[in-house]
Amino acid sequence: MRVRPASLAAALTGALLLAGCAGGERVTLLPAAQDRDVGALAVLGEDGEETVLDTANSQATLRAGSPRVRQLESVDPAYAELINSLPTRIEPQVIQFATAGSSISADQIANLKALLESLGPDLSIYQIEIAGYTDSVGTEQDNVRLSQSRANQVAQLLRDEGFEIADEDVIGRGEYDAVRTVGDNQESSRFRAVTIKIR
Amino acid sequence: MTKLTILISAIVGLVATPALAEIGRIKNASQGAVNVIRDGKSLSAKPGFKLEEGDVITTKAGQRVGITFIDDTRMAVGPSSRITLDEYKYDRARQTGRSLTSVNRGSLGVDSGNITRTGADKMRVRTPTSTLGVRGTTFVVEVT
Repeated sequence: MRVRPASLAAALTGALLLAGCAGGERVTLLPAAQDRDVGALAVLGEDGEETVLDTANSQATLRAGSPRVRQLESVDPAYAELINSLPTRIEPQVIQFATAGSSISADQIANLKALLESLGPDLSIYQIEIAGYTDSVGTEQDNVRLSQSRANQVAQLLRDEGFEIADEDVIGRGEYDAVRTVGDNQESSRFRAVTIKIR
Repeated sequence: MTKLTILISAIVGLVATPALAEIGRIKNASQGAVNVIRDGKSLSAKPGFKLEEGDVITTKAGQRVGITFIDDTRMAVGPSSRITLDEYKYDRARQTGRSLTSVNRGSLGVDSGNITRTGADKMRVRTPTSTLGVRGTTFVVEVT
């Protein structure tokens, strides 16, 4: 795979693009939302070449063959308006557990209940995902079981409070995150948890 | 199990089509319901509507639609757009997968989610002339 630097493509085509480009196809990399890195986008050519955009406000005009790239000075107001239509991200809630434990305090459930009630009377537009995790000590199968048990317990407590939680949204993620992040057989309290995501 | 039960089970197994799982949800829409085409049928979709792989979302002039996906990707569909959710495979336990979304016309704003952590270009967006590999970022695609 060969990488065609976006800056080179921009230099070759800049003068032409200064005239603007009505119609056609464009992709524009924007400043990252929240605290994330700007990341990157690659325009993938059929010949294995790729043109990478990795700076905020870089824009590629797409066409058969190589794209044309330029750097915009600021975010187009139309793009800002569109990005403002993205659904609001709700901060996930986290419940921590002791080693091999799955008990939850009444305060934690009360806090969750208050958060859900703050979303309004109709929760049917929301997906409530409850995911259990473990650290990477023990077998993969045991950790999947333990994480599912933790998730089930939180889900049941919320169901008892009258909230509807779909079975497929109660997930045991076992040790996968822990292994990916800190390696196998590592004790770590941060992964002994259940996260509640409201989308 | 009787022969009849076995026969019925076999027929049901052949005929029954497994229900497709929810891949995302429409969260907000300006100017009323959104049109979603599923298996050739036009559906009127309001906030809370569960999207499935293969769905086509079309918006009217002036309409915008916000969508969340189960990998935490968020999308905003702009006015007069047609967006096809061609492929969406996601393992919710391992948080890995791949997706392909086509912008047939109009505009699409994207804030990418966990699929981009799976590997380079596991999340792709296609336009009539090009394919984009998404590497964890926020961007807008326009096809006019």
